Amino acid sequence: MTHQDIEEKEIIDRYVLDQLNPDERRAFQEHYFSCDECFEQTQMHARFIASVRQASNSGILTASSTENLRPTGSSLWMSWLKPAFALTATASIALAIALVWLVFNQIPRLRQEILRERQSREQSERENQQNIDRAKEDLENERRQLEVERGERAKAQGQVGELATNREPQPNVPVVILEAVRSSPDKVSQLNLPATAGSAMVWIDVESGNRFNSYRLEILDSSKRPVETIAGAKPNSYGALVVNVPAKSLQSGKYVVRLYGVKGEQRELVGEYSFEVRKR
Amino acid sequence: MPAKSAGGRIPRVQENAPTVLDGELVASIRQGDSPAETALYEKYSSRVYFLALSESHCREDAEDIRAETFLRVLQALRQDQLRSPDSLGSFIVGTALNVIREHVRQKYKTQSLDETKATLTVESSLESAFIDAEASQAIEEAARRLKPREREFLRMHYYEELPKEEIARVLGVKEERLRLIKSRALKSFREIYKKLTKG
Repeated sequence: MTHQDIEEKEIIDRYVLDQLNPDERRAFQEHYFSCDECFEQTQMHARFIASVRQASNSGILTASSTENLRPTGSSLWMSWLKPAFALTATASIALAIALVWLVFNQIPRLRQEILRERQSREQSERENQQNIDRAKEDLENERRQLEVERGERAKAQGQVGELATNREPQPNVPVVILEAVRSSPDKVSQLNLPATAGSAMVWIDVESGNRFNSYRLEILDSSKRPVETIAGAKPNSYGALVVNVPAKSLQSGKYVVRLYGVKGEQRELVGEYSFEVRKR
Repeated sequence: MPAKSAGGRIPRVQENAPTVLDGELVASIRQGDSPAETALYEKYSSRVYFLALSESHCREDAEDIRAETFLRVLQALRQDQLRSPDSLGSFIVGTALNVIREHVRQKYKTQSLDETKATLTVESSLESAFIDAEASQAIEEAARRLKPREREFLRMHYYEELPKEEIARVLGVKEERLRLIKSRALKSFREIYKKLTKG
């Protein structure tokens, strides 16, 4: 008989209550004869059971007895403490439930919300950046357009100014009267052209009659490059061709004027003239 | 022959007593060593008495049975009738049980041992055999520490001797719980009893 058998089969309890069969009883008696621990426990068990029986006889262990159910000194204290314990325990349980709810429900939900918010913010930032880039690009295009327009406006203003200058009456318009080179080859007419002058007048006497329908003038610089061409010119009442030449076309230097008579599709060199421009 | 232990109290085990091997005791007794006989009595006296009390539930009978048992055991050892010294405990148990049977037959000549035990149970109870003043006080104090349901269990189990299944059903607890209640109650009783007896 082992101690495990004794514990599991409640041998001591059954021995004292005389519930073992003869073989078990004899085996246990031989066991406690050689085992101090089991002998001590068996003695105590016998006292305990005997006491329980006596207490049952005297009513101490009867649960229905009012006296026995009345709280004792220590249990009276316990009865006072029980509500406090109950309150504490309830609060602890509620706290634990709240903690679990927070950990397993709220925190993951808040994390999800933060993640969504972050993604939304990043998306918004990306869109804003794209809008800013587009706005910059538009601004740059507008700036370029403005520059173009400004350039065109300046150009137009220049043209307008030029036109205005040309259209405005000008006092003391510089005039050069040309004579044919063949008639006086060493003679070079002088044209003093002020810096503020918008144009200069070129006066050429032509033959009378109706041999030509109109005249064409070509002004060449000293390198024989044409600087100005005037077509359709007709003599005035004095029998002279008077043409207006823009001052900007004339720089200081020598020039040659070739005069052609035009009739129908044909033209004929009528004369060649020289003049020198002196800008001041 | 060593003197009987005084009074009706169950002798408690002397925990600090030196352990003497049965073989040495047997050998010494064979050689007529008187102190060895005293040592044998001190080692097994309380056990024989307890065994006798468990069987007879009568303290006077248990004293007589103890005395007769040791008389026969010592005589057998002196005459070298014990074959194996290692089975001394078993030999003493067997001798004690024989003495008990003879004692019962002599006391109740017409009844068998079982019948006699039934008669003994009526005349002398477990309570009268094992209880003492300290045990009575200890159970009262231990009972105060128990819940009403636990006290009710002890009463049903040890006094009414109801089956555990029925007790569990009546009290509305699981059977495994009953063993725990018993263990707690016994532990409490043991602590109080030892405190009282030491004081």
